[in-house]
Amino acid sequence: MSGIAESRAALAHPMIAVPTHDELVEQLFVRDLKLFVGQTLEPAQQKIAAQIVPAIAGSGSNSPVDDLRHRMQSFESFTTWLSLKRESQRQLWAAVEDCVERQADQLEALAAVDAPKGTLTLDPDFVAPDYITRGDIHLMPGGNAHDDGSVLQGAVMDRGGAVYMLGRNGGMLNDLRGHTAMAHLLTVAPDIRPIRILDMGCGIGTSTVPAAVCFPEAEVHGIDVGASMLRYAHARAEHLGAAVHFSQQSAERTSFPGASFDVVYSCVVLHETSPTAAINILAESRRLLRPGGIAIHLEVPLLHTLGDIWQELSSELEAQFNNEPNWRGALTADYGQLMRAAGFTDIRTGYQATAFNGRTAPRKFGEASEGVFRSWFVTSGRA
Amino acid sequence: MIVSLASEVTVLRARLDTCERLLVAAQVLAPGAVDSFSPDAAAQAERDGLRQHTLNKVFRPLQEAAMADVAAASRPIAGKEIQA
Ligand SMILES: C[S@@+](CC[C@H](N)C(=O)[O-])C[C@H]1O[C@@H](n2cnc3c(N)ncnc32)[C@H](O)[C@@H]1O
Repeated sequence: MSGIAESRAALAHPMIAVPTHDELVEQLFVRDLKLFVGQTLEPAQQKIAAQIVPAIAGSGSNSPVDDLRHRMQSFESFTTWLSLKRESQRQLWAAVEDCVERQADQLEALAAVDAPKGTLTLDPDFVAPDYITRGDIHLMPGGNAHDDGSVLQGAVMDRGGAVYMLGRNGGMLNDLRGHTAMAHLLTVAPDIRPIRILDMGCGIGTSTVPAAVCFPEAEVHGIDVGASMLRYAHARAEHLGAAVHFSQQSAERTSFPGASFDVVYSCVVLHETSPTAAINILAESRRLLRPGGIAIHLEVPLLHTLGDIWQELSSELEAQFNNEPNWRGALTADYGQLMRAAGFTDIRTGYQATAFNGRTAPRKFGEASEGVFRSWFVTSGRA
Repeated sequence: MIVSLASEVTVLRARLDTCERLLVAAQVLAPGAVDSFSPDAAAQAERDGLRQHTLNKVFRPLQEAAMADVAAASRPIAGKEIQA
């Protein structure tokens, strides 16, 4: 798997902000620091929790997660871990922003693509949902909907996203989720030849371009809430040679006519919304499908270990310290039930093996998670 | 502590910058050579190791403090002592 390397050859596409020597080393440092926080400091906290949990579990407490948190707060290393977790994330964006701002002019020039294959439709009157504007998701300054008329917020998200994933999601292309969704599609419908495909919550198009790669004949659409992100997504897709139609709208209710797509999918969107919005998004994906069409919603591994108090606390902390508005809601939902309520048939829930190329990847889908980054949770259904 | 560290790093940076400028002036380095440097696989591995080494060294006290807390938590009555 291609990680993040210092080599120039590792650049995935011309739109990605190119760091100087120092900026790159700083970004790699932040990446390493995040790994240290997650893989060295966090396991120690898990061990501390393991010592405390039996007493809490035995006490018949009504709020075991709060109790655990309270008890852990008396350990200094617990608070240190949390502040470093937050600080390393803030440092990540700071490092990326410097690098993007320095080359703002070049990026704008690159974004002015002649004779694009795809399109970009922005809505100046668009109002982003509360859960997007309430806090900066992932602590990205300004948030997803931030727009100053440039492509810069998108550029920050692209470079930051690749570093944020620690190079484990397809290096600088950061596109394994999209490919995994396509691999799932071809697992459940090996002969499908979709005419129109929609990626809901496409961000800067990392998950959208794979649909165009796997189905070059299809008309591929991507929607999201942020104008800067979409401007950047458009330029990025063009530079990657993918024809994609990007538009600014909410996945909860789009302007597309009903029954106008063969495939509608989303990748790691639901945990950044709200429980109600997630239901609306599933319903909208159902409305947009032609009879027989397929919807796919991909998420991070669910909290199957519910009842494990430490897992619950750790997920609460992730939501709180990394601004994930619906982390718990999305990871504890009963997707089979939600998909049925949305009117789907042929419903599946499980784990799709991570695909580097959706078309050629092994079609591996099963009940058990193969671990973070090795497989993704997927629910799918037919209209 | 952090103030003196910051001042030390600032001095270090200035000195490195001086070196680079002198090397460019003496035509040992082309302008921008450092910024366009692209390590090969072996150099990359060594540089990854260097970064890792520094990180572990600087943050080792945090790891040790965490391990001490783990040890304290596993002593039966230690939880109370810590809270006191
Ligand atoms: C973690 S990003 C994932 C981006 C992309 N799908 C990927 O896998 O790389 C989640 C995206 O969902 C978008 N999003 C959240 N709620 C949305 C909504 N109601 N309508 C459209 N996009 C939404 C966010 O703005 C963000 O770009």
